[in-house]
Amino acid sequence: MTDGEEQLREQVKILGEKFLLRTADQVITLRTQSQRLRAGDREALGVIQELSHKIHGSGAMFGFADLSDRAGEIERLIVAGATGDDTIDCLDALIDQLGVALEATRSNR
Amino acid sequence: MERAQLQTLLYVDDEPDIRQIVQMALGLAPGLSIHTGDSGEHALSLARTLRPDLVLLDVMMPGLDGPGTLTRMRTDPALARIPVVFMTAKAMPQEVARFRELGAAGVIAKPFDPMKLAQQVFSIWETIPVAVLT
Repeated sequence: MTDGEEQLREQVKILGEKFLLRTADQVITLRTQSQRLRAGDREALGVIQELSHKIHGSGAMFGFADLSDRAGEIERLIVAGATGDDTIDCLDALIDQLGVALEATRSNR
Repeated sequence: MERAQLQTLLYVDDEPDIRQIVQMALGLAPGLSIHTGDSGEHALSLARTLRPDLVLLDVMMPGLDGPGTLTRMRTDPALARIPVVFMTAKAMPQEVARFRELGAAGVIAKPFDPMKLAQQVFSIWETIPVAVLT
């Protein structure tokens, strides 16, 4: 492996750690946005979709497959468009699962 | 007619981490100058200034997304001929076909292997007809 490749691997690892820290804050934001949605604020949909998309994409990029998959489920739920209580209950459950996946990922490192 | 070398590349993604990884990954390729932007609008302004050989566009970006950026490039005479490659987590055959219809020179699936990204980009570059690059 060249020095450049070694540096790249190291940099990806460092960015992955930062990603996990940031995701912890984003899980809190997702919970807040879900509450907004339950209160009828549909603007929360865009925030939830954007955040879940970022976690889904970057999580996969850093090799955090479980975390990425959970975020992908949230993104798909939001893209599907329903905003009834059942959907928001499901959203809350998925956000909880995302939080669990995050903790598992952090404790395994 | 000889194929021009890929020397200047513009990568556009709203995710700073991914931009940094791509910049470092492509930086492994000697002689390639890499510039980055964080939005579709930024891509258009940077492309007008830099006139890159190739633009790599993330598909899903807030505001002007990747396909929207490509469409705008194709209507701008200064940018119309610059080849565009999409990077996307939605690299299903139907989506890839849609991106090709829009005029994309190629599609790179996310997540990508940073160690192989430069090789993927150069492979796509080799498939672009020389006539397009002149």
